Amino acid sequence: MQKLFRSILACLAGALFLLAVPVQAQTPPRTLVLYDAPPGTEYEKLGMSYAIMLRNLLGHFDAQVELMPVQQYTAGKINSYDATFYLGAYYNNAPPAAFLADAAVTQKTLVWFKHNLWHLAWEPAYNFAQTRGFGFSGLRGMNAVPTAGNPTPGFFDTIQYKNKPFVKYYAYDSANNQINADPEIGVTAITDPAKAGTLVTVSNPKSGETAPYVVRSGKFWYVADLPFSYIGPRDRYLVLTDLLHDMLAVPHAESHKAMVRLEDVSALVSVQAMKRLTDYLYGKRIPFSIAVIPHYVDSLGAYNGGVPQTVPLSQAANLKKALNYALPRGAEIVMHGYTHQYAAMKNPHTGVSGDDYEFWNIVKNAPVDEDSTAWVTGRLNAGLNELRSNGYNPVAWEAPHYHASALASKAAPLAFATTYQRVVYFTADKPNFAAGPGKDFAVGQIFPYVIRKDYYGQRILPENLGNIEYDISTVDPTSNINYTWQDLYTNAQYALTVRDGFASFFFHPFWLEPSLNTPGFADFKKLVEGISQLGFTWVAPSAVQ
Amino acid sequence: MHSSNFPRRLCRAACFAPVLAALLSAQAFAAVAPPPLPPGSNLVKIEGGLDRAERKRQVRAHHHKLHHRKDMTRDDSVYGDHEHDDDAGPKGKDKGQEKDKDPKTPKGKK
Repeated sequence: MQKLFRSILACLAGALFLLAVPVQAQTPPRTLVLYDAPPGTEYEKLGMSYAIMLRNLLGHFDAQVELMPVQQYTAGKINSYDATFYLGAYYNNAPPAAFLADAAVTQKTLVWFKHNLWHLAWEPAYNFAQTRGFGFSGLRGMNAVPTAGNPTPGFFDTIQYKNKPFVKYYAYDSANNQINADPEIGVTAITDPAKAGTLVTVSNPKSGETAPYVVRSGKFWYVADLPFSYIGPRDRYLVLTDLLHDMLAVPHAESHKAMVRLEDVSALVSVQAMKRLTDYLYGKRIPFSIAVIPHYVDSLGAYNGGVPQTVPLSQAANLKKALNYALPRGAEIVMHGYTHQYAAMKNPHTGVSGDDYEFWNIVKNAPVDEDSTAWVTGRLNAGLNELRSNGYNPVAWEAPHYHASALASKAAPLAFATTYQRVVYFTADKPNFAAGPGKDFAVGQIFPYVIRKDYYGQRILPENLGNIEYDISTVDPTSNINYTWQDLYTNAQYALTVRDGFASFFFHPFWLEPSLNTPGFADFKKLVEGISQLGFTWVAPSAVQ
Repeated sequence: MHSSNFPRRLCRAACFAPVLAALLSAQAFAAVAPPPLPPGSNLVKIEGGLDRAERKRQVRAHHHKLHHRKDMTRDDSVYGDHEHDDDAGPKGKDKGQEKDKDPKTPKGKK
């Protein structure tokens, strides 16, 4: 009887102990990103730009990330990381023997992209096919050389994932006989289904062929191309953003949130348009944000009869009226530049707030002359002071045109805990884009989910669907694009393939101005309702974890 | 397999693996000939990041000629969208304007 009593007590004690001990949070993965950097070539830094893009995605997982040219790899290094990625960006850039030897036997996660797998798979000593269960067959690209008469001969361009086709970008420039695309893939074949399997396929619609796109053999992954080129909201890049969860074994739960942002709201804003949008969103209890330009500048008088004009927030009566109406109805403020233009020059359009770049000289395609941490933080603080002195507290930062210099992006976290944007990344703080060996690269990146820390130290909330556009080129020559609410809705459907993908878009209130005669309000409502029906949950930027 | 030999075999395998790895690392293999490049590879221009259509959508200007000399203090929710009509007075509620809903939180400050 006493023994039974003691046994029961022991069981109870054990159960209480298990309840009391907190569940161990998953340790963020330690990752190594190796990339091709063939010295003295024009594409020396392309691999680095891809490595930066992958590093940013790894920021969704709180990963520690080390970037390294593959030529600097030393024996055994792979064992110090939970996962290693090799970006085979350059044809026949032979990885060092130390890396190949480790790759041949490692039991750690290794993800190999595109090129140079033949150095591992075709060297008999590595016994690759026997070990991994698949072999490397060769490279495939265009089905034929394009010509003016046959500009689209086709290639393996359609990746099938979660019942959606992800079609790679392609454009043939016949005038310059140039293929603006990334058509090449490494072709593999499963030799032992017990050891390896094809997770994702890619098809060649013109030839009718299908090939493996993502192959997995235990912790060894092969991706047939490098999904960081020519990316868009329906591109195979999204497939990688989702599969990273499996590659890193980080099981984020299925979760789909939506955000909407009213864009480029400045002293010129239509109060009526803002009230209509606010009332609609408030009526549906949908939180939203407003990208505010605090300090309006028309530096060349483009909209003021040639007379320069400045309107600080304190004098922007309509803007404040719109904000004061929206804030108690679920709105939050995002600071969208200080003036959203630069100096007294066309950069490149008019010198007017909302039109031009502020933290990048787009005319020269270079940082502005004043570019420095001090100059940037000065403008960030000026904007913050102007907002706060008028009673407004922004929850995030958004760079004008999503395009700021490296120093400007690095300065943003000094003033803002959160940004809400897409970002352009550079392979140097003062990049040299002139053609030739070692030129720098700039890469724009969209994110389908929150990035806790990017290459520049920014926390980033996603904007991944784009914005509704109407071709009003007869009124404004630069507004010559149609991008419909249906386009954004389709982008949202693609975002669902990422297990924790957002549906996040922005909208210009001026599309409601009657003089423009567009179905802006109707289309806005259709898009919002469509996103809701897809099952996304609307959230405010400040509520995003 | 006899169970008495297993520990010895295990020991041999454990000792051999790092030796093999070291040999593979140190040995200079004959260069592996790469696969041929596909047709048209020399015409390919790779661009990292956003495709051209996506980039173009980010750079548009946000104003138009109808913003010329707009009165930034004239509330078009009261006066309507008569941007350049200086004689227009209040016209009452505009079409589409809804009655203000009365939110629970105070106006203005968050």
